[in-house]
Amino acid sequence: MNKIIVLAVFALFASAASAQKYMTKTGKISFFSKTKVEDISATNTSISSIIDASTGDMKFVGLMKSFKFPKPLMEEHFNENYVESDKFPKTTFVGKITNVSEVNFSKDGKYPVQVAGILEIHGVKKNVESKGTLTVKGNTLLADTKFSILLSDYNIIIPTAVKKTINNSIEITVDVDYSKAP
Amino acid sequence: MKKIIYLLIVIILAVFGVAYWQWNKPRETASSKKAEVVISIDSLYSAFQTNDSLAFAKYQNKVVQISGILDRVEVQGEGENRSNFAILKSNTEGIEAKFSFPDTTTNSELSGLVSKKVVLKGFFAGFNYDAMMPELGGTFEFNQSAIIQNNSHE
Repeated sequence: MNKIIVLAVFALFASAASAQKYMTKTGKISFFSKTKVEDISATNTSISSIIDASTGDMKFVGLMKSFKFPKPLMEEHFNENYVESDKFPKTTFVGKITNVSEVNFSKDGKYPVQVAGILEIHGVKKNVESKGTLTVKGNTLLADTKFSILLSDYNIIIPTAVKKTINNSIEITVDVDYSKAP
Repeated sequence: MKKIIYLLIVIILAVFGVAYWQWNKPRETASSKKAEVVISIDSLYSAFQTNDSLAFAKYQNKVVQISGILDRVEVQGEGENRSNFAILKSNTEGIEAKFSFPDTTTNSELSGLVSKKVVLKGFFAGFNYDAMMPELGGTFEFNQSAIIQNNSHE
């Protein structure tokens, strides 16, 4: 009998813990860089991500080849010459909402959040920090933030011929809609 | 001297012409390509479970053909970033194949095929899976895809 009670309590806690997670497979991450010749922008709308509301842990993973550019040639150069997608097919972010205790996941509203973690691009892992917003609306969450990274930090080499026209700094925009895990 | 000037002008125009064409050339789609690999999602998953690096090296950039029941159609992004996706489910829980279609493939063309057997092909982009997020399952992603057979009458 005791065993059944223990199992029932365990199942209850396990279910509560799982209900604390928000997930998506259609997160959107874009980047933008202003150059003298033409602005460079791309968007990936197939980002997988999980936020654990109880701990603030957040993870992202996406394929580099799923970034879509307005010009096919830009996409080709991005994959072949810059991020070498055949060698480093994924980008990941593993981090935490450091002020998760200030977010009330059961009350609709906009909450300012701070996120810190490790971003991996081109096989290089770097610490990043960013301020953003978490919007709670029923069983959904919208996470958005903007931050900049330096291509040189990720060993992404800009060819000498275009060094003067391509900015080393790119702005990354995260715009992800989550649903509460079933 | 005039001949040299004319020749230079022709060369400059040719260089600019090639550069302009390169810059504006249309995206290569799988529709005009013969499938290099015909495989099921489960077999693809099995290959990635055995050795993901080897499997990625084997299939990357290849035109892969998969048949199955079209589970759902998604439209993501806005404006010039808008994309249509068709998703096939595997027999393994959480494992899917997601085909992105060129701008010319309308959403209604795809929506009409939901729950029907289809054969799709696309350029293999990779396996979007992370062992740290097993709850999310995994998605094989394919770009510039094409419908090569739709058995909508079945």
